[in-house]
Amino acid sequence: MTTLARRAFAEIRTFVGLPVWLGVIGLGLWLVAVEQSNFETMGALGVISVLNWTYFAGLACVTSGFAAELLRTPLRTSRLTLLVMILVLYLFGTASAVEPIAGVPTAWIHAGMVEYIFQHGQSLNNYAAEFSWPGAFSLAAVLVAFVGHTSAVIFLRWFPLVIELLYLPPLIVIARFSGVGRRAGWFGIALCYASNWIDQDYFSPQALNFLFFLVVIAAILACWQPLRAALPERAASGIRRRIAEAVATFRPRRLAGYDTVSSWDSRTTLAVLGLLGLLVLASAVSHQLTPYALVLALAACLMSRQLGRPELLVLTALFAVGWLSLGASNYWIGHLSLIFGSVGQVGANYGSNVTARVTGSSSHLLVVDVRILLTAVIYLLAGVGFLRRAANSRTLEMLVGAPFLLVAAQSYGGEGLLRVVLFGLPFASLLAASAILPNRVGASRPLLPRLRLGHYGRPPLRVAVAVLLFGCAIATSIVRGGNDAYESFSNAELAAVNYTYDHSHPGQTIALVAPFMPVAQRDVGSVELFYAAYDGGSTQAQIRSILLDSHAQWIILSQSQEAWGELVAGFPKGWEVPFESSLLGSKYHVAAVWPTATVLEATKAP
Amino acid sequence: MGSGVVASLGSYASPQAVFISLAASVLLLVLRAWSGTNGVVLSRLVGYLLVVVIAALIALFLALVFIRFRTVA
Repeated sequence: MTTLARRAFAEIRTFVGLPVWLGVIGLGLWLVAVEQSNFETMGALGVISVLNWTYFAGLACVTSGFAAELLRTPLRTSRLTLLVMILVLYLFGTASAVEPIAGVPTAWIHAGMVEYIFQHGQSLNNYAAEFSWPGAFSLAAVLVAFVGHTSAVIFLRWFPLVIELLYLPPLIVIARFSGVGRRAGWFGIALCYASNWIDQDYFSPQALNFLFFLVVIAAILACWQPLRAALPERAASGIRRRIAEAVATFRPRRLAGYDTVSSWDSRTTLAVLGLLGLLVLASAVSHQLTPYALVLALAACLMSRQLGRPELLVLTALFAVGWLSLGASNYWIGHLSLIFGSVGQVGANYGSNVTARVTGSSSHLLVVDVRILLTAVIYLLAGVGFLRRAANSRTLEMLVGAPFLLVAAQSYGGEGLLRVVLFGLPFASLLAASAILPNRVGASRPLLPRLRLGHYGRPPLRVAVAVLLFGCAIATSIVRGGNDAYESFSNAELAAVNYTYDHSHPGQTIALVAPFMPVAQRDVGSVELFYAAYDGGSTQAQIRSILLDSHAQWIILSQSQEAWGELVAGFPKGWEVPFESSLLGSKYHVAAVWPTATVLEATKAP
Repeated sequence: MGSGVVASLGSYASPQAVFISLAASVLLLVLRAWSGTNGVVLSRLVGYLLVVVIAALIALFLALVFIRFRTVA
């Protein structure tokens, strides 16, 4: 190396610093890992099974770089932002980069709904529950027109990465104004991403509405702060003071929003309130669950002195109930029990959300177990963070607990607990970060004594941050793509679907063994879809009988459905070949074949 | 509430009635938020009156929604 090059290298190193270099190396290793991956060799564990050692080495570089930068003085937010963005690329961009087309069948169904609105200018009644909350689909249809396309399929592949990056600005604001220290805030953001295995960031209304949710909470935390004088003074200290604080949570004065103070002028506050009002209205017309999660979160903010205007909470509730009553009547007319049938059945709701998911092959069970373990670790650390941190208000704790009331009211088709974890994760992560980097200054003092590291100083903290972040990121990398064996698709499978749509006529039915194909992205309301099984409870004979009884004109068999059968339904390896033979004969014949998909057509019109 | 009474009330719980009660509640809530944030001094009586009217409108809205659920569904 010449002297000039050595000097240039030294200058860049001084400017950028070792942590950023580690991030850049991690980025390079990610590119190598993606380049060397082979989608066709994907195993039962999903995306992680096609990635080599460079992925893990790169992730170690990024997380250790983040830990080094986090505990550096002074704190450099631009470098931390860069490192978090690289971490986001690792966790939410890898599947998009490795898989040839977008995964998650529901995303394709949503693309079909967008196409329908694009073509007809309105939603289709009695098609799907989501279509009764068409706000997000309408917005997507506008975007489709704006970019000069006719289908939202172009948005699907990289949507998870884009939406996760959009979550970053509100997360930074939440961390900044939530009452945790700056370092704990950044660590909480990284932990939030590193433990987000919930996979609700595919092209969907809930992904967009989670952004709305974060923006509303971020604006509220930034606008109002708890009024110090509002803390009860008659109980001087100890347990009496804590009891008095808890009782004060429900005082009318607090519920009227008088226990907060805003640092913004009235015009700015009014403008922000107006924008938030529009945002909650948009949320009310675009998703079934988020507005109610928002109501609970706003109530938590109000009771913990972080919301100064209770009108916003009431408006959110009115918009949500108003749209349910007026705009979504197609959804509930005739089956009101879907909404109110599980109200109050707390045990049954929690049971349907947990036990129903712990089924399938050993690899699938491993994925489910690690998901539960990862969630438990974050919530356990959040509990430790609650005990170790001092705070001026307990908003974070209340925001973590509030979403659990959702599952008490509704099982949400067995997915309620997933959403509870999702809505609480940004706040639980900040509390978990406080377990390692607690704030020691605040009106409410910590319940646990300070842990003194003595002369060891920051290195043990740096190691703890790096190990925890790396552990969570690895676990999320494994379990997030744990369904990819049957939720990701090859080009041939998409070609088979398009072939079937091209050759089918209005009114005909396309049948699948299970809903794991890139279907319904076109011809919504014209061609019917039929799924023989939704979960792993049926035998092959039952599925065959259901398929034949459906009198479908077309049946598509594919690699993804075969993987579903092996991993979830417990069918033997290669079960689809004899299954296909059993369908052939007098009723069906092979219409077209691809390496990973076969299209069967009814021999005579049913 | 008996089903006969609910059925007879069903004619009042039209979508228009639900919407009007919703819109009126929203308007008054916006008025209260605007006056509170802008520091407009309302007399105690007017302040209480505003809250009572908003509460009554919300109660009416919820009652209409409930009746609509019971009769239309």
